[in-house]
This record gives sequence, C-alpha cells and structure tokens, in this order.
Amino acid sequence: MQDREKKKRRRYRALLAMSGLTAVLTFVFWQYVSRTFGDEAWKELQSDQKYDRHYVMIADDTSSLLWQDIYQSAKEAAAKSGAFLELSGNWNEEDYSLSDYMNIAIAAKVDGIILKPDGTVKLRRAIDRAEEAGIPVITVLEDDSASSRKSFVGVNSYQLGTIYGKQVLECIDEDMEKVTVLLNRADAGKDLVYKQLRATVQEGLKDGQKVEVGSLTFTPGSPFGSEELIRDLLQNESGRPDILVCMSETESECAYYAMVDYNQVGSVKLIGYYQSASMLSAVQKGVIPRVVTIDTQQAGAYSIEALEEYYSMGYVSSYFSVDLDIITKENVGTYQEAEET
Amino acid sequence: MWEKKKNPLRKMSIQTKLLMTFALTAVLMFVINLMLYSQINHSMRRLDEVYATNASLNELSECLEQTQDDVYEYLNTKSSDSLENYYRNTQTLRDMLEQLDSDIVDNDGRILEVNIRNMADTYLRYADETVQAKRGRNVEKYNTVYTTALQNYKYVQAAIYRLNDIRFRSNTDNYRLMMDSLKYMEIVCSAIVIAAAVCSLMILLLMIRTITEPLRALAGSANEVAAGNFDIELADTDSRDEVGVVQHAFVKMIASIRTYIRQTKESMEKEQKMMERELLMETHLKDAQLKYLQAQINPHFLFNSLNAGAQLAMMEDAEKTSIFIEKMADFFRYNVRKNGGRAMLQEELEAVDNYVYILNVRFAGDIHFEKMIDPCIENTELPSMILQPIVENAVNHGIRNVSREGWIFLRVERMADCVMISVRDNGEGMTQERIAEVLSGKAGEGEEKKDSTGIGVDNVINRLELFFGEKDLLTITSDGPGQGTEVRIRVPLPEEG
Repeated sequence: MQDREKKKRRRYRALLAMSGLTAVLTFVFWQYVSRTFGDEAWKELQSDQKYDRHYVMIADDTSSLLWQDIYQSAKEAAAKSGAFLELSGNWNEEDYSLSDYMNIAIAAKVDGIILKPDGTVKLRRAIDRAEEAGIPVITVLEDDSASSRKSFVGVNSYQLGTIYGKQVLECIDEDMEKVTVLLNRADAGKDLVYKQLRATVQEGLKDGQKVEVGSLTFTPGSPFGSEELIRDLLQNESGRPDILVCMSETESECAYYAMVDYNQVGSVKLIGYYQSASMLSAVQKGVIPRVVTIDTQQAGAYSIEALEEYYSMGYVSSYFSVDLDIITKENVGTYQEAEET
Repeated sequence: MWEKKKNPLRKMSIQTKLLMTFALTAVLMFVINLMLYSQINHSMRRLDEVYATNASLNELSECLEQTQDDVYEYLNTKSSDSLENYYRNTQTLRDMLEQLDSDIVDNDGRILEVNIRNMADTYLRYADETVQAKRGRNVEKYNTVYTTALQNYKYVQAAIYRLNDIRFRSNTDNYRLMMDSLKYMEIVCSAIVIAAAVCSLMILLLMIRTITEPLRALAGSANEVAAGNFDIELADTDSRDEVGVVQHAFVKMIASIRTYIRQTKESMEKEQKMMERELLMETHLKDAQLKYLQAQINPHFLFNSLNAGAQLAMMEDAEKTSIFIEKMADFFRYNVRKNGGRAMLQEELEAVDNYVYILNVRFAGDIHFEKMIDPCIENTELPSMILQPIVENAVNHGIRNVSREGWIFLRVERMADCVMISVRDNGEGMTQERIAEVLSGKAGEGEEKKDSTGIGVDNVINRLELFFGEKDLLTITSDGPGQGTEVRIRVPLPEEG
C-alpha cells in the first residue's frame, strides 16, 4: 500500500516537474521570440533618447571610411553633450551639391553644420546664409577662410605640405627623377599643400640630385574620372612617376589597385592617404612605403567641441589643429589592431 | 502538505474529475491560442501603423504640391480662388506638420521627419513672403523669393520622398522580420501545443488511473473472496467518488461476512459440545442399564412373574406376600420404564420406598427408614436411579454390619434455587480418605456385590453432572468410623421464566 502511495506521489511530482518545465521552456522560448522579433526589433517605432540640439555633418562622400570615422567620433562626442549629429550628403536620388545640402540644413533649422568646403563661391554663400540664419558652421579637413565659418578643424595646408614633402624625401632614391602629386580641383586648399610639398622636396634634395615634382589635376564632376586618369598615368611608360603622392582616400586605393594590376609594385612608390584596410594591408606587405593619415577621432571630437564652445561662450577659436600620423611598416600593426577592435 | 493537495481530488466524483480534466485541457489550449493570436495581431498592428505613416506622408506630399500649385497659380493669375485655396491648403499643411515628430532622436526616419517639419515650415514662410510680395506688387521681390520657395519646395518633396524610401525599406525589413517571426511562431506554437498535449495526456492518464486502479484492486479482491479467501487486505478509501463508494461498501460487506462466519462457527462449536455431552450421558445411562441388566436378567420376565406370584398370593390369602411381591414388581417396573434417564423426584422417592420395603422383608425389619419430604417438590426433575443407589449404599456400607439398630433418614427440602436431598445413616461411617476416594470414583473399582443393583456412586455423580451441567452436586459427610454417613444431593431448579 505504502509503495503504491509512494509511486503515486512520485508520479505526481514527475508530472508537476514536467508541467513546470514545459511552462518555463514555453516562457523562455516566448521571451526569445518576442525579443528577437518583438518590439526591440522594430526600430522604426522605438522611442530613443531625445537630444537638445541637432547638428548636421555634410560630407561629399558619406560612404568613405574617412568620413565614417570622423562622423562616428563626432556623433559620440555630440551625444555626450546632448546633441544629435546627422550625416547628410547621401540623398542619392538627387544630384545635390554641397550647397544644396547646406540649403536643406538651413531650411531644416538645424543648430549647427559641419562640412568640408569645396572652395566654390556657391558654397561660400551658403555658409554665409547659414550664419545669417544663426546657424554656426564649422569647416573640417579643408578650410574656407573667406567664408563666415566659425571655426576650422584640421591640418593647415602648410603643415600638410611639409609632411607630404618629408615623406617624399624619405622615399626618394638616387636614381629617381619624377614625383607626381594627384590633385583634385575641388579641394581648394590642395594647391597650397602641393606648393609646400614641392618646396620641402626641393629643399631636402641632396646636392646635384634632380627631381621633377609635378602635379596631375583632375576636375570633379566626371564620375570615375580620377580612376581612369590614374590608370592612364601608370600604364603610360613615358609619364609614369617614380613616386606617386595621393591626397585622398579614394585616389590612394585607385592608385594602389592600378599599381598592382600593371605590375608596377617596386618601380612606383606610392604615398597614400588614410588608414583604410587595403592601405594598411599594403603597408604591411611592403607594397606601399608610407601612408599619411589624420586623427579622425580628434577631427570629429574637435568639430563638436567647436560647436559646443560656440553655444556656451558665444564665440570660438577659429582653428583646431588635428594631428597627422605616418603609417609605415614599423607601426602598421598598432593601426591594424585598432581597426580590428 | 501532500495530503492537503491530494484531498480535494479525492472528494471529487468521477464525473467532476473527467470534466475538470477536459476543462483544464481546453483552458490550456485556449490560453495558448490566445497568446499566439495576440502576438500575431500585435505584429500586424505594428505593420499597419508603419504603413499608415507612409500613407500620411503621401497625403502631406500631395498637400504640399497643392499649396505650391496654388502659389504658382496665384502668381500667374492673381485669382482670389487660388489665394483662398492657398490659405486653406496652408492651414491643412500646418495641421499635418503638427502631427510630425519634433523630437530629436537618433533614428534616420524620425530625424528626417523633424527636418521635413522644419523645412516645410521654412517653405511656407517663403511662400507667404512670395504671396505678400505679389499682393504688394513688388515684382522683383516676389520673383526672388518665389525662386527660394520653389527650391525649398523641391527640398521638402525630396525629403518626403527620401523618408518614404526609408520607411519603405524599414517596412520591407519589418515585413521580412514578421514573416520570420511567423515562421518561428509556427515552430514555437507547435512545440507549445505538443508540450501542452503531453501534459494534458499525462493528467488524463493520472486521472483515469485514480479511477481504474481502485476498480482493479476491487476486482482482484472480489476474485479472492470468490475463491473463498476472506482474509484479504483491502484498505478502506477516503475517496468520495463512485468507485470509492463501491469500495467502501465492499469493505463493509467483507467485514460483515467475516463476523457472520465467526458467529456461525461459534454456534456450531457450542452445538457440537452439547451433542457430545448428551452422547456421554447416554453412554453413562447405557452403562448403568447394562450393569442393571447384567444384574437383573430380563426384568420384564421377572416382574411379570412377580405379578403372577402376587396374584397367586392374593388367591391364597397371603396378603403380606402379595404386597411384597407387588412392591418388588413396582420396583423393577420403575427400573425398566425409566430407561429414558429422566424421572420426577416423586417417582424416585417411591422407588426408594419400594426398595426399603423389599429390604425390610429380606432383613426382617432391621432397617428403620424415616423420611421427611417437603411438599413443594413437584416437577423437580432429575436423572432416574439416583436415590436408590445412595440408599442402597447406606444399607450395604452403613448399617448392614452394625449391631445396633440401623436407621436411615431421608430428607427432601425445597430451597430457594434447588431441592436439597439428604440420605443419612447411623452406620459405620467413613474416613475422609474414603470419602475422597468415593467422590473421585476410585472406590468400588473391581468390587462386585451380589445383592446390589450395581449402580455405583461415581455413576450417580457423573450422571448428575451431565444432567445439570454443574459440578459438586453430591457431597458426602461423615464424622468418622462408627459415626454414620450423610450423602447430600443438590438438585438445581430450572430458572423460572
């Protein structure tokens, strides 16, 4: 009798345990499904943290790593001071210029604009209009000192030119004769950079050594124009330089791939710009000797700092200097590690 | 704690148990379905909401277009209709813009909504300026401002288009997400339903077991009982369902059958004992009769002959002889007649009278017999041939061999619950050892007296005990040799009523 009772109790306990387990499993599974496909997944309707101010960063190429990095660091800095930073410039549907994006930002009554000016009068006027509307404008990477921008965050052309010049001197061999600098007409300040580069190189040459420093300028507007130009340059044996200097992320990558395609690794030395993954791997492999890079973390943070300073003090210093770094085979590892993390 | 949990279940009837099981299963399934449908509906509603924002954006775009058309028409024609339309549409547009998000949050769609709200506001400002300039006929101004307004209009439309695109993309993502979630939901639902079904099945199984197990036990017990084993152990149950009732009744039935069997056994044993006693008594009587017959060969012939002798004596006028022979005949007749073993005390006393008379004739009146009889002794029953052997002993062992005058006193006395018979002589008397020997039946073994009726005291004692079912009914007292002996017989009276 007692055995039977015990058995019965065991059975009841087993049933209870099973029911409990089923309930728990159901609950857990349900929670998982709700979490995976529930409200949290529907980001559109999610109510996020609200910000006090709305800044806009206008970039000419929002997909480039350089801009992405600057935007990320600036966005984080903005969030810390209670502002939201929007990245503008990617309304792909319309063929909008930087000044269009400026106009849109002004019409949207944003609280601050960060952009890299293209040196056009149209944009300068747009900057002026923003100032009239009470919207502070900060220029980053490139400056337009003639406009009424509040501040510039970046490297000045003289400094940049000197650094590039020094990199050319580092790469130069005795039998080298030709250095070509790729210039984009849209980058207003690059002329100054080029001039300073040439001056630095000429000054640094050993006695008797003759090196021709020339530039190759392409006009913006024609899509893929720079790529074709670089390929032509590397394919054509007579015009092929010994050292090729690139001052933008896209051009650096174009030149690198063209150099590999035309089997010019070793015969042409490339000085690249910005720490994209392909540049880093090229430096590591020794295909590219040197890459000039800018501290995007600083650039982003300073842009926001400038705006915040303007809002808190009513004025702001007109220049924030951003550090430049040179990536060589010796230090590429640290950049790659940082990239991975 | 366990008992507390179990008890409510035990008190339920089978019907309630089954109903409860079914209800439990149904409720479980219902709840699961409810959960699933609520989740699906929730997803659907969310998708609807998002699509609704798309629809409202389209409305906004249309209204904006209408406003722009009105401005254009007014600039072109300066008609009051277009102006009226313009103001009406402006108001509608402002109402719509109020519905748009104004919170600055980290979300592409929502920040664009804020932008659209502000851009449309800017556009309306320029449009107003244009209309005012037109009304004021400031041609140069309205031309300039209109260009700006138009540009802004294009920006707003582009922004709306872009927002629509973002929404559409996110809706597509949401749609995919929902389809995925539905697919997962299918798996989850199936799993939950299967789990619930298994649980229900187990509950049902347990419930059915609580019904069938007692039934099975009951059937097993019934089979045992049918095979004749009443010593089965079937615990009474506290379950109140129908099976519990049957089991309770069965347990009660088994218990009452056991009691009945025990009682029957006891009464049978009693009967057996009684039969044994009667058989024993009969044996003793037969023994007495046998002994008597050994002594008196064919008493019928004897007392018939005696009767013939008595008649002969009468004819010869020998009266004494006739009486003597008659008494002898009576004595022997009594002996023969009473072979059933039962006699009235009166008849016994008569037999004793006859015996004493015969002896006195034999021994020439040496025996002085005196009796004192209580008249209230009617209907006193006792075994036959009890008194005569006692008197015979008093004569043979008491007064026969004494030189002095021998007396025998017979006294019958009615007491409260018995009749006391006392036979006392003034003869030889007895030692205590002899009395003990006689009472234990050891005396007289092997002794055969020629002029005795042959019935010993032990026979008398046994028959008295058998007849009345009591011991020590016969006592012998004597003060010692030469002091005479008294034999007392206690005859119990049947309890009245």
